Amino acid sequence: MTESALFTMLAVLGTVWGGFLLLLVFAVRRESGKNRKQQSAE
Amino acid sequence: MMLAMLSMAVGTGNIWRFPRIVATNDGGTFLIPWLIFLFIWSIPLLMIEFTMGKAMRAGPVDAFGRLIGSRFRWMGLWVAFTATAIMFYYSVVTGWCLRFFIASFTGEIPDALPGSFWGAFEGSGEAVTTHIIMVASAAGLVYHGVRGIERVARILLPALLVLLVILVLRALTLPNAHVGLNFLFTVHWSDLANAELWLQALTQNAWDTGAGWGLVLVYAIYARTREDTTLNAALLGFGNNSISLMAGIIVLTTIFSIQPDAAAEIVGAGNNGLTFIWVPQLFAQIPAGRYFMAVFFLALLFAAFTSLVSLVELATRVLVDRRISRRRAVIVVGLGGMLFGLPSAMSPAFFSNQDAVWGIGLMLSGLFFAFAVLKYGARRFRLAFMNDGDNDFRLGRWWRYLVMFVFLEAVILLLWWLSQTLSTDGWLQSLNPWSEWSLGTVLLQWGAVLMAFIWWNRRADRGKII
Repeated sequence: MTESALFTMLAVLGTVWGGFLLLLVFAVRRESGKNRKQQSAE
Repeated sequence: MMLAMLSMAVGTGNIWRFPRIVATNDGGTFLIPWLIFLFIWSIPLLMIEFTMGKAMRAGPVDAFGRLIGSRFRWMGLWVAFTATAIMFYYSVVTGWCLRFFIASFTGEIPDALPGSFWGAFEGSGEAVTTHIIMVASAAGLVYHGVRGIERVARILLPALLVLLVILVLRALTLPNAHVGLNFLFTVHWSDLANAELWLQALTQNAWDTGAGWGLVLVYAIYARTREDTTLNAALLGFGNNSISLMAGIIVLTTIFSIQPDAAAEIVGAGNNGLTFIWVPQLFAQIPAGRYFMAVFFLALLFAAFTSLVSLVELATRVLVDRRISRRRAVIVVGLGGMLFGLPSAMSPAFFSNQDAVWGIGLMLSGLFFAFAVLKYGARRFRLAFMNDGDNDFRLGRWWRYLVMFVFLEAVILLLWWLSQTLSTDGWLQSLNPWSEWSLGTVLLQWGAVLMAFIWWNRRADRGKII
């Protein structure tokens, strides 16, 4: 694989896959936090 | 909610369309504008759709009417019609998934000569039959309620994701896989001066994420009030593009590995069946691949089918909003879908024409969404509907500039494409409306639909029609 293709691959996959995983972790933590807060309020 | 929307948005756009479009548009070069449009087109539009649906609690036509006045309802109708026009040939693709699922059982695929099964199937009576079956099933499901399918999709969507990960790993370990990766990730910077490349990139990103289709707007009508629209929009965008990249890696590395000598010719040909031809070839390289292949096509069938159900639901909702009974609306949409999908099922050339015309039509839908927010007031829209207690991300003043940018992107891209097409192909060839792909065919079909909708809006405003 050429160096430039490898660089583009890492940049594109890092942005898209990395971004998705980060958002997913954030969303799951946020949702469970909200649920915990709601349960303790009840 | 998020899973339901991912089931709706993850479909053949990611797995069937993306590998074909990236292959015919210079591989890695295409990825640059495609990735840029995720941030400056798809995510802002998904945010607008989410917010409009949640705030207006109405389908696209009435959502536009309530936000910026009843004389702009034709814009909402355009959004809904573009999605419906896509539905007419989307059911054909869903039918292909059904046929390939059956073929994976009967052992008809993988074929000894890649593409021979696809060649005999595309445009045949079988393709027409599977199209009719899929429209009838989707309409039946919308009529009777969608609870059952959601339960099945809850199992099959993760199964599809797991299978895609397995396929990516296998594809990367094929001999010559690096040649496919080179094609997919090599950027030819000078080719970025081509307007059509940017147009295709924007259209494909809208196809991947569902931005501008009006589907997210309809789903958001049923959203809980505490749903975080900004986070959901970003998740939907990134999630869908992740799956598209997986599909691109799978299909392209397989082609370059199995037929290295003819690969350049294959990827440039723009065959509608690229995924259907090459994924079975990859499964043949995996132990017990035949069984995995059956599960893959079953999952792909459900991914496509759930998207088709959403499209039928959207068209039905528009008719129900016009005070037509739900039963009658579903029958009209079902019969219309069968009838207007027939030419695409029978003719690959007609299919490609419709895919191009209404794919780019999504850009006009996006332009109308951005116009609606600007007309209402981007600041007012942000403060009233977006920066409420449910959202963790607070949007700043930059939101207004982002929406203006979305609007300008569509205008500039349309004008750029127009001038480049006219100067390279000449007036006569560019404006030929009967060509499979030309500026003329796009303008003729868009023009006819837009005129009809503006006429309807004027008559409806005067109370002469509903």
